[in-house]
Amino acid sequence: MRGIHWPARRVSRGNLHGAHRSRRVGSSPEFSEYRPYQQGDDPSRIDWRLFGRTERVAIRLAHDDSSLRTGVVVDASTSMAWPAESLDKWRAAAAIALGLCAVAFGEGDPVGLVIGGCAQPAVIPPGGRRDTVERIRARLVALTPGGSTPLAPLLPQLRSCRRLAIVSDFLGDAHALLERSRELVAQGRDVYAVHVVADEEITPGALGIVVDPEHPELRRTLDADQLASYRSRFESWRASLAESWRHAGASFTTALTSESPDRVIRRVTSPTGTEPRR
Amino acid sequence: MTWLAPGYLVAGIAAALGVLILHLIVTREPRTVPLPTARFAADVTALARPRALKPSDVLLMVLRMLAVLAAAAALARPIVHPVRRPVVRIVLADHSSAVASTAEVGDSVRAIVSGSDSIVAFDSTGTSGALIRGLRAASALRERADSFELILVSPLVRGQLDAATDSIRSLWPGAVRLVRVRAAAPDSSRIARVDWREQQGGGAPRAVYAVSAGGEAVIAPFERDSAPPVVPPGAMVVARWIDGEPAAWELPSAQGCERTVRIGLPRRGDLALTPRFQRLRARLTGPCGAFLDRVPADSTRVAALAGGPGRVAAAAIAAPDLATSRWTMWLLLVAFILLLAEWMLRRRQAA
Repeated sequence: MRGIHWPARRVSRGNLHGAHRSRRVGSSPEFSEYRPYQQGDDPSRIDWRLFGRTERVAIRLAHDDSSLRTGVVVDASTSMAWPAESLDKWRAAAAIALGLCAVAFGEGDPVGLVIGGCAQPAVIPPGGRRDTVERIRARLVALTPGGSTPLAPLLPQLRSCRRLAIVSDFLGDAHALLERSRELVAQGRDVYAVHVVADEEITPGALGIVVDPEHPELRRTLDADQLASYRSRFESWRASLAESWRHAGASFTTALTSESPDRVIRRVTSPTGTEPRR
Repeated sequence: MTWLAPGYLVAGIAAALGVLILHLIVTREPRTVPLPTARFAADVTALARPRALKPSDVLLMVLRMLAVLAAAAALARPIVHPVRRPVVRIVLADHSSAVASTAEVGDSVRAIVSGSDSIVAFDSTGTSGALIRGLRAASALRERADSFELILVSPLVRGQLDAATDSIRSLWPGAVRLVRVRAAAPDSSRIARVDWREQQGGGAPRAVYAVSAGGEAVIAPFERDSAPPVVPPGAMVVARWIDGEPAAWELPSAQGCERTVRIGLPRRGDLALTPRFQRLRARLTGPCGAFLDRVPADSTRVAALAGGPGRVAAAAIAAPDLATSRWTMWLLLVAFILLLAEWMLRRRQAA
């Protein structure tokens, strides 16, 4: 993850010093503007050179850099534990979540993690301790995905985060997640949606009676004749999903299980949403 | 190899072909596979699988076809033919009380038989019974020989030929070689003992039976043993129930003969006083050998008994009605094992 930067999509209001442009004005070397001295201002902040040239008593303002609390929500539901033999979806989601945490932590941002969708959700509160990323990695490695609990109710666990990344296949409570994320965006938070898609979901290798592992009562027939229709529906849903998230003001990135996680992370962290040239 | 019931084999082959066809056009529910995005598949039900040129589950199909064929082969009763002999002789040897010397009969038989010839000994059954047993022996041996020769070693006294003899003789399409031995002299010795059982319990008889002896027949509520009596070897049956089971027999002894009568008399009623029963009682308590007319048979009847044109081809012999195949049980066992293997394979595939 070295060399990857994850800039804030909007000006931060963070209090801690960090890598992101803050709304606060401070005393950093990057000049912003002059403001007339007011009662109560620290006299030491008066720009005496300006006073010498213009006899105006003013203080020098500069942009301050602040840190950005970052939270990553990763989906560990049963649909992510697929294919059953390789768990490709879960492996990809875990690698992307860990990568995003590492990138944010590398820029000095406190990072936290919420693992949802499984029977017992796990929460690692945002923090900047040296071993934070290692703790996140250990938790992800130890977890066996499985369950079908909703993700949306877990988002308040990361209410202190100004930046939120959701790594999921959005086959669970996608609508509730979107609505909750829309509110977060309206509150000024950066929301990133990473849609994990297995290549076998785009082109199923085994045909027959297909069963939703989270909803066994959902059984459909998928044979060679139905395959084109299935792909068309799935493609249409993915496009609709991406559009609705982007329309809500969130960043949306699709991650295929056949892709290298670092390429996905580069796309997520890129301001343009595309993989930057090296 | 021949098949006693080839229709089963044809049916089995047809059934095996049916199994093959079913495996080609079988319709079954496709296998179930998990897919998180199953909701995007169309909500249609397609349970049928189209016909295929390649049969499904080849191993299962082979096991099923083999099981069907093995069962069909078992029911068809295969017979593996032994090596045929040009001629098989069936010798009917008389060792009844009509024979003066059984040693003479033995010598005559030994002079005739060789190899796998068949010897049928008879006593009180008479010539009719001997001929029937000879016919059965020929039928059982029809696959082992090209032709048969029937030989009767007997003194051929009048008492051994009854009304059925000519009819039974006509069932044998060839000649009967007659080897006559000396007949025993008429026996005038007194009967030593008559063992006549009495009715047990005195209750009502269970049924009305008919018994006949020496031409006398009586129908009355006799009591009869539930199990057929065991006639000792060398004894001559002198009275029979209507179904042919022995009712009385005579066994030679040093003092003359000992006669056992297994006819239970009812204690009530006047049966013992009836003339017909008196005549039956007189026959059953008469002197030894009184039941066999030892006068040599008429030459006309003897000629009729011998008649016919020589040996009989095997094809002219009727096949046995209840021919058995020793392969049947083995083939059924093979079919059972194959079905067991098919069941285990199917269970493993389901798991």
